[in-house]
Amino acid sequence: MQRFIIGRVIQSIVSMFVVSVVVFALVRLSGDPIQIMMPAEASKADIELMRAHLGLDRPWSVQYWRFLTQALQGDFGRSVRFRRPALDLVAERYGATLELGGLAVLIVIVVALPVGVYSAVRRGSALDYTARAFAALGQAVPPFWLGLVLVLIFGVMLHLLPTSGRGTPLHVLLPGITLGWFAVAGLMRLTRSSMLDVLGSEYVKLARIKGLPERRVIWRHAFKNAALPVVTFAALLFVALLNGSIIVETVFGWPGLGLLVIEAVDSRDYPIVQTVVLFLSAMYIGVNLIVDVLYAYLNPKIRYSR
Amino acid sequence: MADPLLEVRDLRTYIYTRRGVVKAVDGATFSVRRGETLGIVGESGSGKSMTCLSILRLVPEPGGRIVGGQILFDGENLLDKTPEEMRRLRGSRIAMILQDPMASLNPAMTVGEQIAETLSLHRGLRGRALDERVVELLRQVRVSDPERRVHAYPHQMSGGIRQRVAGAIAISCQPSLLIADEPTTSLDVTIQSQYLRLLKEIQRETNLALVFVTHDLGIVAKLCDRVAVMYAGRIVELGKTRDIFNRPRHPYAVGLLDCLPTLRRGREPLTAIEGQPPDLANVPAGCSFAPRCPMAQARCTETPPPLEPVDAEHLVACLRAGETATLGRRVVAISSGSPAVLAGANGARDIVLEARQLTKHFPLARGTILSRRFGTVKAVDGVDFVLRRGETLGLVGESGCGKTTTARLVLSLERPTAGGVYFHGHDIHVLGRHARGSYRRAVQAVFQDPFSSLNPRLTIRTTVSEPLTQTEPDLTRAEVAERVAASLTRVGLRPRIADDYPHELSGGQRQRVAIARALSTNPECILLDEAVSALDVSIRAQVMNLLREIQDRSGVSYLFIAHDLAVVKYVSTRIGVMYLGKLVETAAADELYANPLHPYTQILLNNALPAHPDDARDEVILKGEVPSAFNPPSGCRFHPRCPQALPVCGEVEPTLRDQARGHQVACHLYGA
Ligand SMILES: Nc1ncnc2c1ncn2[C@@H]1O[C@H](COP(=O)(O)OP(=O)(O)OP(=O)(O)O)[C@@H](O)[C@H]1O
Ligand code: SF4
Ligand code: SF4
Ligand SMILES: [Mg+2]
Repeated sequence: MQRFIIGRVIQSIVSMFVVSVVVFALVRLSGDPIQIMMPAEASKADIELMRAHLGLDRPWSVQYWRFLTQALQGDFGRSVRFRRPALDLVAERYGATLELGGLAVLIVIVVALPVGVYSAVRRGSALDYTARAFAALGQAVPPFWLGLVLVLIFGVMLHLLPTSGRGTPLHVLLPGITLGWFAVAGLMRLTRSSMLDVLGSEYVKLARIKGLPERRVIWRHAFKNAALPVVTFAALLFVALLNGSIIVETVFGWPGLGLLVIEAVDSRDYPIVQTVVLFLSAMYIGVNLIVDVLYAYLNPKIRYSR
Repeated sequence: MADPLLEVRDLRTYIYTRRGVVKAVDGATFSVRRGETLGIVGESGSGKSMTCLSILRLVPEPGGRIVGGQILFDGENLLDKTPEEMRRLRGSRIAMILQDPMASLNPAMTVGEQIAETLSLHRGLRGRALDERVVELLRQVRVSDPERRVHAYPHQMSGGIRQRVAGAIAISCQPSLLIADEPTTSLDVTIQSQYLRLLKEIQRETNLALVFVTHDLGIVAKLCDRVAVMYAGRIVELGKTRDIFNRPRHPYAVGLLDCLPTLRRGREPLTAIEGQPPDLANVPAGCSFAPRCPMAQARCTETPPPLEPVDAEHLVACLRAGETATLGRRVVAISSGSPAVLAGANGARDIVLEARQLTKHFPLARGTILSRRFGTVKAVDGVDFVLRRGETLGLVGESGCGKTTTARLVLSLERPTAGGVYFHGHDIHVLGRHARGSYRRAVQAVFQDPFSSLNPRLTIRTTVSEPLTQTEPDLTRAEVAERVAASLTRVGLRPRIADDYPHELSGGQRQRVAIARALSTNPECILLDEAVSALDVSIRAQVMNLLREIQDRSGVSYLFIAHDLAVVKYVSTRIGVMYLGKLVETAAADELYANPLHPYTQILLNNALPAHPDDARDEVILKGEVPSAFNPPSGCRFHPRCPQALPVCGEVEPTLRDQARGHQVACHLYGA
């Protein structure tokens, strides 16, 4: 297991390195940053001066090395638009996105897993039908539409909850639910079908033959095995949440990374774009690492074959 | 007679499905005493498992319901117990072992944890005492190295060991009733012998009442004191094992005993029971066996015949039970087209297929990117055989002996590491494109599982015509259709089913389709890899008769791979016995069974199930499991398990040498 984890960590570092190269290259290829940064009436000499100042006249390899060493020290350049260090800006917004994402993940875990499990256990019951209807609805309704409906009901009609911006804990509720909704339906279905497979298995039958209490049969014997595909799906889910967060943040004016990146792309604020992409990639690679380790923990076959 | 521990009276378990009411158990009556073994025999789907699960009141949810009858256990009706009382009974006083050891243990828990669960739940054991008891149980079911094995996961163990673990779980709380639902069906012959012996010993030690479910009459003959024959959800005959083998009274039981290929029996055709078991969602009124019964009369279709005594402790559910003694063997005439083909002098017939020093080694590598080779699996290691026109060469051996790899080599799905397969003298692995096409046409295959070997999304027509359109693309549609119809007719299917899908057919019909597919190109040789192993006895007899009939008519050769010695004997002219990638003995079929030379062959034959309780013999139980073909033992590969091993055996590898009567054996006992 230890060797497996060490191997995966090394793999993750390599991936991160590759990502940094790609991001670096893409940003350079997408246009001359000087042209964007300098006012249109700047003289040729000024441009050259600026170019030298930023080190953009040096060979790419040297530039990349500088980019990398600076990044490792926390220097990701300055935002062109806000004229502040990119890292500070991203860090501010990062917290907001984490708050939003955290609530969404919490909703997913608290709602999707137990409902998925019990609708499989009580297949054909009222709970099962309700859950499945809900899941079908969840996958049919786009999150921005749901967001707007929630805003209408709770904000405009009932005046119960704030509908835009960030501040009190109440602010996060509507965007959080909207984002969570995005994932709950899929995960619930997956949990249910995975549980159904496992509940039909011979080892669950044997667990019942052993006279184990139903709770133990469900969670200890069935769920631990049913969780495997669910955990695998969690990585995909993360991507879905990221995508979703861009929409949700726009709808609710939530000052997170999604909103930031949209603004940055609009104004070609490349240090910000670069930093956000790097951060998201790091998060993605990190989540994958955790998922793999969890998977290996759940599945002894993987643990021992390495 | 002592009071029965378990008495099941007219049990009825129905499953309410969208398709209708499946009467999975519809009148099961039997009893079992302490220390006694009751066998329940029946074909697939006859309701055996559902009967067992009903005793534990674990019918499938939702939809399953016990709708009638009584289950008296130790004097109490289990159907009156609360769910909580039932739960406490399960695993502690009534235990059960399931069929498939590969599926019945939880892959995510160590075997130690799985054994410990019942002990801590029902017996309240904790800590040291618990750990010790778990190890002791593993030792009791003869698992070697129990201290280490408690920490192992199921996937790290062979099927035989896993089934022992399942046994340990079952006996952990010293139950008084053990239900074993086909526990040895997926085990090898020698491992099955070990396991049955183990069950017997445990039974003797603890005075268990054992209900042993099986579809194999051989196991009943060997193990059971009494037997209940189940057909379409009902017990149709119940009595002492010997009485039922000597004088079966129900026509179905008579048929079952008749269609069993046995080691005693020669090559005369088996008496197959025509037709197939009814769909339990749609059982005929009256006697459910009537559509297949040779003695059926009009009154048989009126009401289900009750189970009534015909003798002391012998009950039969048949209106004409008194007359069945006259039901002799109905020998189904096989239109043996040209006995001349068979009678021909053996040596003179053409060699169709030949293996010369056929070898396949698989390198074992570790690591994903920089893989290091750290060993070799010698799956097939220098095998020679000859298959002549119109003959059947049977290859027998336990799992892992290289049978399937040999099959894959013959089908050119795998390249040999050394040696080769020769078709009419040409190495099949160096054929040109054209020759390869005609080889594909000439050699076809049928595999084990009729459920997975047919593509569920293709019609029977597409499946059957596939080898034809691939190897003879010039055929017109009409010609293809004609050949498909001809193939289907040859295997006894109505050509009309060509537009059906596999799921609409029964297991036996599917295997016929697979054979029809193989026949469509008029092959010279068909490779049959465990082709009848998954079929029920009565259906298996039909398919084996069919195979023989086709051979007699067309002179096709078969390479017949199987683990069941009686089945191999029934179809083969020559037999090769394999052990760990080596051919250890070959001989003409009758010669091999009459006069086995290699100690392994002797044990295989000795361990084969008896055809009659009187045939039970002193068994030689082999030590240990089949070793892995990775790093096989030095010298003779069989020496660590061989009861007759000589000092030289661990060092020098014996070669296959000719003995009398075309018999070849690789063993130092028969040296120069
Ligand atoms: N969950 C279920 N839902 C509906 N029908 C079922 C279910 N389980 C079993 N059956 C049906 O009940 C009947 C009896 O099945 P059962 O498993 O008892 O047969 P069996 O004799 O044990 O067969 P085998 O030898 O294949 O194990 C079959 O017709 C089967 O199709
Ligand atoms: S009752 Fe009639 S149909 Fe049924 S087994 Fe007896 S003779 Fe055959
Ligand atoms: S060679 Fe030796 S070990 Fe091998 S089978 Fe013969 S006697 Fe046994
Ligand atoms: Mg069964």
